Amino acid sequence: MLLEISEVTIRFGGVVALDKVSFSVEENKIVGIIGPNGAGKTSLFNVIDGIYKPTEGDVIFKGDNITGCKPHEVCRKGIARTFQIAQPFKSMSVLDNVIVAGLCHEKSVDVSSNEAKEHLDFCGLHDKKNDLAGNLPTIFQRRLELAKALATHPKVILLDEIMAGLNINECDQAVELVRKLKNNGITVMMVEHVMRAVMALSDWVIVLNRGKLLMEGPPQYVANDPKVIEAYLGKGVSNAGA
Amino acid sequence: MFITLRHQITKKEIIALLLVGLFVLSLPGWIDPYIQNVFIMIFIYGALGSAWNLIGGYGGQTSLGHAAFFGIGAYAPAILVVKFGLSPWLGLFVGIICSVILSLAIGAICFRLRGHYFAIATMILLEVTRLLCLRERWLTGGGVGLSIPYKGNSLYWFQFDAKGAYFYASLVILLLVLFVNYKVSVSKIGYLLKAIGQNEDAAEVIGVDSANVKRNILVLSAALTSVCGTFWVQYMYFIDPDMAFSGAFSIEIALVAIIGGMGTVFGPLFGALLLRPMVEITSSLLGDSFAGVHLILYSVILLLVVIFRPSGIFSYLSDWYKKFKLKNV
Amino acid sequence: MRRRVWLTMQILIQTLIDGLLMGGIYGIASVGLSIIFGTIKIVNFAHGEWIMVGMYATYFVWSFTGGIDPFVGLIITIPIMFFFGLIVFFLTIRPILYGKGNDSAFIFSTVGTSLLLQNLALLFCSANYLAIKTPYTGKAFQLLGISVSVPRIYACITAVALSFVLTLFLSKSYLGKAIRAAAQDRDTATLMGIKHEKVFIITMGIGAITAGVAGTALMPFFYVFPTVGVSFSLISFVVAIIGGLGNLKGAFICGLILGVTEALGTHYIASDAGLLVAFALLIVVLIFRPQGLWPQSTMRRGG
Repeated sequence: MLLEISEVTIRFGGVVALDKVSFSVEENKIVGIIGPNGAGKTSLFNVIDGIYKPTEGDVIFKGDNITGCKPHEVCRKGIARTFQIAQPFKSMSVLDNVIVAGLCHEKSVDVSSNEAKEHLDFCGLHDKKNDLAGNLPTIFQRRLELAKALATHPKVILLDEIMAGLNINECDQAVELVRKLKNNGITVMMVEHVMRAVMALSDWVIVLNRGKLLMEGPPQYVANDPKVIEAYLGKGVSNAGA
Repeated sequence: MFITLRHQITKKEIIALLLVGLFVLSLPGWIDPYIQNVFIMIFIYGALGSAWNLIGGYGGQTSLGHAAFFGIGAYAPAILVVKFGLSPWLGLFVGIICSVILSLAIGAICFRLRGHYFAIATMILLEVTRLLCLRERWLTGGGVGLSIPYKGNSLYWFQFDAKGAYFYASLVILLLVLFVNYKVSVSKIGYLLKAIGQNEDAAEVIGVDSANVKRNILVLSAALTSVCGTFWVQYMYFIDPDMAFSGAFSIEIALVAIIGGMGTVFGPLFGALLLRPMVEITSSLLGDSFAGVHLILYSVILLLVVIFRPSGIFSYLSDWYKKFKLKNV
Repeated sequence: MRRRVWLTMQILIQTLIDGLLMGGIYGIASVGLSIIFGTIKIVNFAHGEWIMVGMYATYFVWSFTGGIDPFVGLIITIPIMFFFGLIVFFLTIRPILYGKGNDSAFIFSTVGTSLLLQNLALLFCSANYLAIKTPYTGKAFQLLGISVSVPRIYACITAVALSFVLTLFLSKSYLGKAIRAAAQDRDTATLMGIKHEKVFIITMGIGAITAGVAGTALMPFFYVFPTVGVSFSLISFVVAIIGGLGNLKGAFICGLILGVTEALGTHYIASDAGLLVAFALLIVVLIFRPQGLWPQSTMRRGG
């Protein structure tokens, strides 16, 4: 198992954001993480990433216990992450943004710059590389997030609602991009609301509800489970939306 | 607030720079010592401001106690020469090492915290250093200070009869600090600092150890400031705690960079060019009974810059120059 | 033998009392700094100079009224200080709040104000030490062999009284509650109809008043000169940070603690040890508990 989440719990004052969540992620698989709003999905990412320190529990990556490591340490170990609301370095160019990410394992700005151009190509941002990151439209800012994450040479990428707000075409393009990631040997964990993408991409799906792990399994199995439907839509509804 | 200097330098610019350079180098040959002194002050304040700029401009961390490093750089050679009869060149290195250690200590404490804690901690560190300096009379001469005895015109003791020597020495120091500024702005650390300044959390997530980066730039800044202090004591033959560890002096160093333009290579030098002559003018116009008038001017200009042109006065020049180049291409 | 123990006890108690009395002043001085940070979220690096202005104001009120008692003179000094706070706000803070500055801009602005005030004082009032004379200057009363300085008692009483009034104001009055609300959550406060600017103005005014009162309390046994504010700035920072920036109770209590520490250090160790001990405490706090002993709010990450 590449990544193990073991009994992870976070309490903020009186709120329990995650409650003894445990699961494992196999290498080079795409794992979808779904659940209604407030289920704790982003908190889970924040724990893996080192932004939050869990009240209890451990995160084990490649056999190493990385619980409580700082975000930059987690990144260096090989876990990268994109944010739901993109966080580009606004006054820097798109290319410079990715160069900074590459510098975490590279001393020379020139080498990082060449590599950065490759990552930008991979994400379809080639002709925008000299634009100011703050001026990019949101969809491209998302792609920039991905390019930055790739530049850190990750083994695992955590994608946080990368499909949100995309139309059908854009969504399909994004799905292709994620498939390319898997083909390049990267393990992907994606928090997603867009079921289309989850169904299309995931090898395995984890369902969170109110901080607890509700169930996990292959996508078809999970999608049709009445408990999952109930969690999203409340009791008394029998159809799952798409 | 950061201009990376990755623009192509043109032939015309090189020629212009060479001419200016030759002109400056020739100055000690024909201007009188009083004016040479003004230039030396401009060079040193420019160097100090540029050194401060590394942590205050590029690093985005306001230090209000940089005089601590300056004072250490000044006292080290003074103590070594006066008390132990050792060359100030050794003092130069001792000063740098001590300043670096101090800067590491401060960085370790403060860089996990928000910016204003760093500003306050530097002020307090400065005051603590000053108090310690006053107490340890056996080492530092206490409030009376230390006078360096005249040992004759020699490089070993770094003492010269000709003012021109100090002119060139301070110019070399200035160029060194400017070079470091340039290197930082185009290198890895410059990129990381800029990213940290934009969004520290986002930078952390892509692997930037921001506390470490800030510590490194502070060390660089402290070391260079220390060098300036060493030059100062050799030039003035005298140092005391009021000069070495002065809060007002720390603020002046920062002012030069802020008013000129933080986060740019030439901003602080421009600030020194603008501000230092004011001291000379006000003191010759108004005499000694109005000491501190130049500080009133400084603080008013600072407030105006902070409110109306935070990028500094040099940005007016550089913007104009960019437009000028575009028109004439 | 007994006599020697009693003597040592007397000296100890004397030192403690001196420390507490001075600590009250440190407390009220730091409260102003803390409240401005708590509400406007800026550190006022000119705080010591505000105290200096209060001291000069007290001096001039005293000398122009032919020697009116400085505490009675507060009737004039307090409005002066309030307007002073407003002027500083409108000239140096407000333009940045609405402009393109970032956090550092406030640091530069208040540092600039600090430098300006110091040198204006130097220009107009010269570097001479100025002092006022009151009927009780230099007087002390004896209590069980312990000498308690009268001006310091008055100073401490004033400090406590003002803190009390301030606490009442903040907890009972609408404006006071508005200030506390804005301090906790600026955005929600705006949604509830509390105008930022009004809150900021009042806060600056209160900060200026506390600085002014601290200055007035000091004048009967101290003296004023242009750079007197520097050490008060440092002390206020230390106290406010250890107490917890934004927490008034913390600021006042830490003021007392600092006063006592300084007195003990000065008497038993060396004449400047008191300050050094205070700074050492600050370093310890910054390393282990940077949000202070009474943090204003809990934050996930440091600072």
